[in-house]
Order: sequence, then C-alpha cells, then structure tokens
Amino acid sequence: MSNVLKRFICLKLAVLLTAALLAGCAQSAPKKNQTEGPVSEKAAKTSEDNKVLDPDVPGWKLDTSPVTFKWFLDANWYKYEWNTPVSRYVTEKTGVTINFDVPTGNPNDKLTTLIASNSLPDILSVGFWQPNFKKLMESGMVYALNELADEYDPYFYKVAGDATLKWYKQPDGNTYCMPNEAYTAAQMEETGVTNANQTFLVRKDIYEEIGRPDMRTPEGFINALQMLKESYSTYKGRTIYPLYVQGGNSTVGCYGLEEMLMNFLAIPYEKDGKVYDRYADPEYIRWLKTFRRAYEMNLITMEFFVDTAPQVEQKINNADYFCMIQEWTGVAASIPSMSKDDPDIVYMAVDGPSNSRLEPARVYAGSMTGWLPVFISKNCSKADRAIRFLSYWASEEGQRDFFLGRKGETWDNIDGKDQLKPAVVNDLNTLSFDDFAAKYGAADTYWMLRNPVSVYKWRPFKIPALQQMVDWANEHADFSSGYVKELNPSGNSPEGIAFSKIRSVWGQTLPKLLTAGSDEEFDKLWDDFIEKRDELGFDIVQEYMQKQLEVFKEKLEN
Amino acid sequence: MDGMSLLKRIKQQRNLHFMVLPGMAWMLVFCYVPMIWLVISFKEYDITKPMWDSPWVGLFHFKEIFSDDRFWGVIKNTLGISFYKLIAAFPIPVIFALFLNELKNIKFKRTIQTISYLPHFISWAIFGGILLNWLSTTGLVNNIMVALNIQNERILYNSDPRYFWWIAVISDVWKELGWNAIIYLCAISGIDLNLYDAAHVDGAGRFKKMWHITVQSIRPTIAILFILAVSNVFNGSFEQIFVIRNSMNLPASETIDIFVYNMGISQGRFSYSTAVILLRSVLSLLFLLMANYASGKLTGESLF
Amino acid sequence: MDSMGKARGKSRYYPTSLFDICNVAIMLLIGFSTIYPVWFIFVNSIAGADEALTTSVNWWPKTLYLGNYLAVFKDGGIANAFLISVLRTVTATFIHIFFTGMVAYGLSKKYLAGRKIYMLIGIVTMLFQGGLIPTFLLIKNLGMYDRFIVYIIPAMFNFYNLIIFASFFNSLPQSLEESAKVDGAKEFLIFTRIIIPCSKAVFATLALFVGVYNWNDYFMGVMYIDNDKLRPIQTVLYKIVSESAASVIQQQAMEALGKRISPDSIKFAAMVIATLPIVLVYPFLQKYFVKGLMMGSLKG
Repeated sequence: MSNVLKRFICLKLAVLLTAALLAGCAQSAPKKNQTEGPVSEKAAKTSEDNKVLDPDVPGWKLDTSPVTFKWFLDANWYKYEWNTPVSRYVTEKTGVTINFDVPTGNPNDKLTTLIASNSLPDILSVGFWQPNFKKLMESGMVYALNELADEYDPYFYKVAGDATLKWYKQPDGNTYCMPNEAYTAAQMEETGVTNANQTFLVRKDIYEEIGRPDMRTPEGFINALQMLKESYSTYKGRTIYPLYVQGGNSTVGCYGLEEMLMNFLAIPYEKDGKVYDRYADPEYIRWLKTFRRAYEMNLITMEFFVDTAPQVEQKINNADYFCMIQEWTGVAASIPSMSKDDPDIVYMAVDGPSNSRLEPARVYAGSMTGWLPVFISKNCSKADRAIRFLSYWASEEGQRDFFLGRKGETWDNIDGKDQLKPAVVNDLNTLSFDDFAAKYGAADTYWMLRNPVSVYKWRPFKIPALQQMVDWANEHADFSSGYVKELNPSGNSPEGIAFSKIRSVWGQTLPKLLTAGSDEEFDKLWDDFIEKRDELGFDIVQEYMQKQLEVFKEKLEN
Repeated sequence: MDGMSLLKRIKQQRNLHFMVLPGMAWMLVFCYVPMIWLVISFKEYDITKPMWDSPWVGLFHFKEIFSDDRFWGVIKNTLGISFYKLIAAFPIPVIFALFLNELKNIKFKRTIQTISYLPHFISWAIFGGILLNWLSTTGLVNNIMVALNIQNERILYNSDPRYFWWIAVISDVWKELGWNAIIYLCAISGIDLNLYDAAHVDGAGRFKKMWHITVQSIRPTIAILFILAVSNVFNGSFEQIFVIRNSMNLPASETIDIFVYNMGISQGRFSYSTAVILLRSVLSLLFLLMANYASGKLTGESLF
Repeated sequence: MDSMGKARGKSRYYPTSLFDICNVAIMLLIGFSTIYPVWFIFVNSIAGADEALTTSVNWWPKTLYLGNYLAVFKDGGIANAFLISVLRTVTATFIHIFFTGMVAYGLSKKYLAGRKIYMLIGIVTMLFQGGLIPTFLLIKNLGMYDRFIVYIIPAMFNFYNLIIFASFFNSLPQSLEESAKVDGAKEFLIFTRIIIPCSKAVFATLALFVGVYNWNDYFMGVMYIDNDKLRPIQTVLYKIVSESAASVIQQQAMEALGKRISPDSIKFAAMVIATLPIVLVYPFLQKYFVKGLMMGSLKG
C-alpha cells in the first residue's frame, strides 16, 4: 500500500512541478498582443458592406439581429437584471441583450484582475474616481469611441453631443468613454435642472421656535447655538446634537468642512485665470475659527468626526441634529422616518455660514464628469453594434424607452405631457423599488447611460419638504464650476502622490484645528500645516491644477 | 557531516522525505510562483502591461518609503499596538484556558468554552459597530463610568489617540479570547493525568500543579505560538483598525496595513505598496529568526 | 465516562474553595461579555424595520420582524450555495488536515536530513506573499478558475498549521512508534495507523480552524468564481448585504422614498444564517478536547 502511495505522490509532485513551471512561463510571457491592433483592422472584417453612413440615420436601426453584450458594472450593489418589461422592449427593438457583470466585493479589485489578465468584458461602466479609470484609457484595451463612431455610426456624434466627447478627450485626440449622469452647463441653464445638492439644513421646528435666527455670520451662528444649548439641548424627548458635518468619518479631510463650506462662503476656484488656493482664504479661516470657538464654548461636539455611518444614519432618522452641513440627498430617505409622528420634525435648507460680504452661496452644480462613464473594450467582437447601442441609449428615444418603457403600456401622453400612467406612479410610490423594478423595469432601473436632465421631465413630483431643499440648491447652483472635480491630481504621478500626502496631513490637522485651545494655537497649527504642505510639494500640485483649470475651462467654454 | 553520509541519510529516510516533498511542491506552486511578483517593488509596474515589461527602478520605492516621515509614525503605531497585544492579548487566552481547565462542572466548562469563542465569528465590520456604539457619548462605557462616578463628563473615547491602542487591544482580546484559547485547551487535553495523581501523592497544592504540570506541559505550544506572534508584530490587523480609526485618533491609529491601503492600493500604486509589503516581510522574518533563537536558548523550544 | 474522569478526579482532591467561586464568577463575566455581541446581533436581526432605523435594540425588540430573514431567503440560490459550502468545507478540510498532517509528521522528526532547509522554505511562505494579481493569474493559468477545485487545491496546505501539528507530534512519546518500527512498519503507515488515532485533539483543533476558515471564506467565491451555481453561502450573503447596503445609495440617487429595510439588520440576519451551521460544530468537536487521549491509547 505504501508503495502505491509513494508512486502516487511522485506522480503528483511531477504534475505540480510542471504546472508551476508552466504557470511561471505563462506569466512572464508577453500576453496582450491582440489589444494593440488599431480599430480599422477589425473594422475591415466586420463591415463588409462599406457604404457611406448617413449621420442623420440612427445606426442601431441598420442591424437588429440578436447580439449579447457582457457589461461590467462598477457597482457591487446593483441587483437588477436584463429580464424586465423595459429590457425586453429594448431587445425587441434593437436586438441587444445585456448580461450585467456585477462584481462581488470591491469592484476596483475585480477590474484590476480583469485588466491584468486581459479579460475585459464587452462593455464597462467604471467610476471616474477609480485608480483604474485613467489606466483604462491609457491601456490600449478599450476602443476610442470617436473612431468607432466614424467607422460605424456617425449618428453617435449627434446624440452624444460635442460637450460629452470633448470632456473626456485625451491628449491623443481620442475619447474613450462616455459619462452617464452628466450635466452640461448649457442644459442646466436651459432647464434649471442641476445636480446641486450641497445644503445647510436646520431642523424646522426648533429653528422656528428660536425665532429663525440669522446664521450667516459667526456671531449669529454662535448665538443660535447658544440659544439651542440653553433651552433645547433636549427637545420632544430626545437629546439634540447641535451640528453634523458630512464627510467627518473620512481620514483625509472632511468634505462638509472643505468644499461645501467654501462653496457656502462663495470662495472662488480661480482668480484672474489663476487657480486660487481656497484654503488660505481669510473667509475660510474666519469660519474654521468660529467652529473652534463654538467647540471651546461647548456649543458643538466633535462627534461627527468619530461617528460611524450607521450611527449618523440613526441620528438623522431621528432628526437628532439641529443643523447640518449635508447634501440634501443624504437626508431624503430619512424624511418619512423622522416626520412620521410629527410633520414639523423635518429639515429645511436655509442660508448658513456666509462670507463677510454676505454673498449668496455658490454650490457645485454638476458637470460632465458624470458618475460611471462607459467604455467599449477591444475584446468586444461586435464593436459596431456596441457603439450603435450606446448612441441609441443616449438619444432622446433611448432615454424615453428606458425611463418610461413602452408607450401605452407604462406611459402615455396625458394632458399633453408624456408621463408614466397613474397606476405606475402609484406603484412607484407604494412598492419597494425592487418590486417596482421587477414589475416594470422603468424609471431608474437602468441608469448606465441615463441623462438626468433629459429624464427629469418624466419624473413624478417630490414631497414638499424635499422640494424646498432642492429649490434652495438649484437657486444657489454655480453653473460655471463644472471643472472643479477635475482639478485634483490623482494616481501615481508625482503631483498625485504629493497631493495624497498633503491630504493625509490635512486629515490629521483639521480636527486639531477645531479642537485647539485658543486662536493662537490654531494659528500655530495652521502655519505648521502650510509649511508642511509646501514641503510635500504643494507647488507641483498647484501647477497641475492650473493646467487642468485651463484645459477644462476651455472644454466648458466651447 | 560529509556529503556522502548526508546522501545516505536521505536515502535511509526516503519514506519521510516522500511525505515532506509534496508539501514543498505545493508551496513552490502556490507560494513561490506568485512570490516572483515581489520583484515589482524594484520596478514601476503598470497593470496594463506584462510584468516583465515594466521598467526597473532599483530602490526608488524604498527610498520613497524611508523619506516619508509618516512612515516612522506608522511603524511606531504598528509596533506599539503589537507590543501591547503581545503583553496583554497573548497571555490572556493561556490564563483563560488554565482557569477554564480548573472548572469542576464539565457542562459549565463546555458552555463557557463554546460561548467565549462565538465573537470570533462576528466580522470586524459588525463587531466594530457594536464596540463604537458602546464607546459613544451615550454608550455603555460612559453610562457605567458616570454612574460609578469615575468620571463627571461624558467622554468621546474613540476621539482620543491616548486611548486608541488600549481600545484596539481590549477589543481584540474580547473578540478572540475563546478562539485563541482553543489551541491551549487542546494542548492541555494531551496531558497525562497520571502526572496529577503523582503530584497529589507528593503533596502538591492546586496552584503548584497548575504551574508545574499544566503550564510546563503546554510550554512547547506557548513557546511556538509566541515565536509566531512575534513574527506577526508588523501585521496590524487591518480589518479591526480600519473600522475603529477616524481622523481624530489617526496619530495613534495609522498602521502599516492602513498605510499600504491609503498610499498604495487605493491609488493603484502597486509597486509602492508591494515595496512596503516586501519590507515588512523581511523585517518579520528577522523578528521571527530572533525570537526563534531566543526561545531556543531560553526555553529549549524552537521551530528549527 | 472517560471524559468525566479528570473533573471527578479533581473534585476528589479538593472541596469547593474560594478559588472555585471566584473562578466561576470570572467565567460568568467572560461568558456574558462574549455572548452579548452575539445576542445584540440576533435581537437586531429580528427587530421591526422602524425600530432598527432609529435605535439599536439592546435586549429585546418591541416588535418582531422576520422580513430580514425573508429578504435573505428570497434569493433562490441560498440552498445551492449552502450545499456548495458544505461540500467545499468538508472536502477541503479533510484533505487539508490529512495532507498538512502528513507533511508535518515528516518534518516533526528532528533527525530528518535537510529539516532546517525545509522549515525555512515553509516559514518564508508564512511571511512573504505574492499578492492578488499573481495569485489570480496563477489560478487562471492552472485552469482552476471558475471550477470547484479552486476551493480545494489552493487551500490544502498551510505552514502555520503544519507547525502546530509538528509541535504536537513532537510531544508524543517515542515509545508509540518504536514498537511499530520494530515490526517494520513504514513511516506512512505509522502516521495513519498510530499517529492519527493518538492525536485526535490536534486533528480536531485544526479541523475546526481549517473548517471555520473554509466556511467563512467568501473571497475565493468573489475572485475566482463566475458561475452562480458554484458560489458558497458566504459569497452569496456578502452579495445580498452589499446590495441591500447600496439600495439606499440608489434610492437616494433617484429620490425614491419607499419603504426600506435597515441595511444593518439585514447584515445581522445574514450573519446569523451564515454562521449558525459552523458554530454548531464546535460543541460536537469538544469531546476530543476533554479526554486524556494519549493516556487512553497508551493504557489501552
């Protein structure tokens, strides 16, 4: 018996060793030769009937034979599939079936392995903030959309719009991706629909009881918190926390105390064409010192730096905060829960911290950066159909098909307006969204190329408390600030590394500034930070930002 | 020994070698082949290109690490937390196992044994959430401290770097106590009961037996696990720290794992993060060899 | 009963002392503090959605709600995933402890020529790892990607476990093997016939460690499996939890204000479902811990 085993072990050993060697070779061998070929090579094969394409004719109508695309989504939480009435309708119309590839776990890890093993699926939606986003464009593993459009579907230019193509145009002159959820300045100005959601929220009942104090000045702000502390530290049976600031649980800074606060103070991003160091603005320092003083006077706590997301969510669900520097989208889902017993327990947007000239806030309005831009990989054997499908979805017709569904079934022209049928709207309001999505597949089930401005006109109305916040944000939206999300360097370039180091130092400095014992201590910490920042290479960061500012301002202007 | 006799010995022991070699082959395939990848710490690796095609950059990434003054803070925190854990979290499961062994009621003993190992199955994401609820200003810890008049004001415990290492260590003991004790309970179960009887005849008391028989019998296990724990001092437990750190306790909570995550992985700097990991592995190996040597000298127990 | 022997033996020596009382008290305290988090998770997994959204339940929920469990079970693949998990855990654990134990037995012999080199080779694998990308490429190149075998072969050995095995084999009395050797038995036979039966405690311990690891691992199912039919329960539950967590994000993004399940409660429910089976294994294995096993074998 032992002899048999011995032989078995020898055999296994040999097999394993061979496998190891093979694996080692396979790894070191160059692996991606097929990705390097230019588009035209493949094109020659796939479009034999090389007739001149009419830019006014939707390309997707040319070929509606069945085709299936595997579509990677950088959203591990997405759970709807291509088997709803809407998707069936789209398949019937275009022949396209989508097989969503939703990663389990960290989407960026999954994408990393897909890239490293050269096994990208046909189409990919990738978050613009991911380290792999820029990698993809430089990788040669995805098609240039403009080349595909030239080849197969000039109609693409018509629906994708110049602005879209220009926004993500790379130095090589090509555009590799197309954003969803993108807002062009022109569209925003025309329709008034924006992505603005940065708000200063106060709890309505308390705010009114203390006499609607003006919180725009440091004195007014402190005064309001003092009144709160004296008479309302518990209210309607619950402990009231004076202040919440969004993003406090990050360790590399606090969104609410940086971008949002700076926007409330209307601090510009640029002055005379030069990128402006918003952190050094005296108005900003004045307000950070105000928060410091409020902390010293025991008027606010630092809990927002420490609380976990579920702890914050519970407090918002109970309306435990008096005021919040918070995007209204972050409280939308909590409003039914907080005001179920008492409709006055609700938040409202007011003018919060302002600069010393009391100028209105200028909040971020939205931009072409979008959310999860879409790529077509070179592994896609039917790239012609893929680009045509993208232009179909981006067109008004595609937007309507995906949002409203089939005419007569889920929507109709009622009172001269295209809208969902009342029964469908009722289901949207009463069913859970999962059930709604399974039943209809309409509204926001498929958002991979949703244009928020286009679909806005089909949306049912919002509840009034929310509408007030939306209106406030829209009123204060700054349409010219579309470039701001593109300024910060990222990745492993020298400026990207310098920037991330500065962010880390800042993340540690910010809580120290607010908890400093005196203004002198604050100044000392501040000077130390500035010095450290210069040491870490703030100048190359500024240089990069200046370059980006120029590039993207130009893209915005044309 | 000379070469001839070595060969002879191997031939003599060929049956034993046939048992060992499959393990070596497995490690060759599943550990050493991927380990080739560590060379990217001397390269500038780009995931879109084959690994061998990326350019060599020598010690660039290592210089980068050492020139980063945050790195030393990171080392301090990692070693600090690990040192606290070696002092507190390492012996407590041993003591727990010893005391558990002294329980007379076998059912009670088994129940406690089972219950104490349950928290191991709770992920840090969830366990950390419970812990942070307890540490909040309205949480259990503050309620007790205020009720007992130990403190007058409610303290935001998790905001203070001074408390952080202790929070990390105590919560780790709390979660892993029962789990880590299993191995000692297993070792204790192997002790020859006749030894106790003999000691009893010699008039040894309870604690004497605990020390001279139980502890001495499981000493090899303790020594081996201690050596392994020492080699582990550079691995801050990522999941734990990731959940309970925040910007206020950052001066005490940034450990190597977090540093690698922040500076490397979340930015796609594969070569840099691999360099940090390689450096950490080399240091761990040094620590292990030292601990192994020291243990061999002091207790006679060593890995090899 | 043999398992009672030790305890009875002790009570024979001593009357109940102050030490025993303190010991029981400390054990009760530890028992309470370790069971509380588990209790917390359980009660919050059955709390009504409203309650869970606005507060944490500490002792017992005001309203009972099984929706979280239903939400988890609504996913049709759970039964299949459970089966995969059981198959994977049993197979991988069995192979792992046998294989690692065998190698460990060889390495536990201090007289083995080249032992130091073998040990060093192994120790390096504990401290140096290649990382995600090369491991992924290796699995792909070995043809294990998206196949059940990926749960078995890459998980069949671990040097840390080997060290624990070896240190136990070392503590076995030499006399055990010598008699067998005199009879001319080969080492492999000694290992299967003598060592394994005499080391039930260490095999039980490592089976527990490895079994728990295999059962709890969701990462393999995330990284190396595409086929839904091959996903283990932890991967499926992980997916359900991330979907539920982000349905909030999605709802916020689209301003739909419908009902929703508190994501934390669903996390808790998923945890209860996923860990209950493996947690129940330990009490069963405990019987191997209490006996003086070597004793029994030596005497018998």
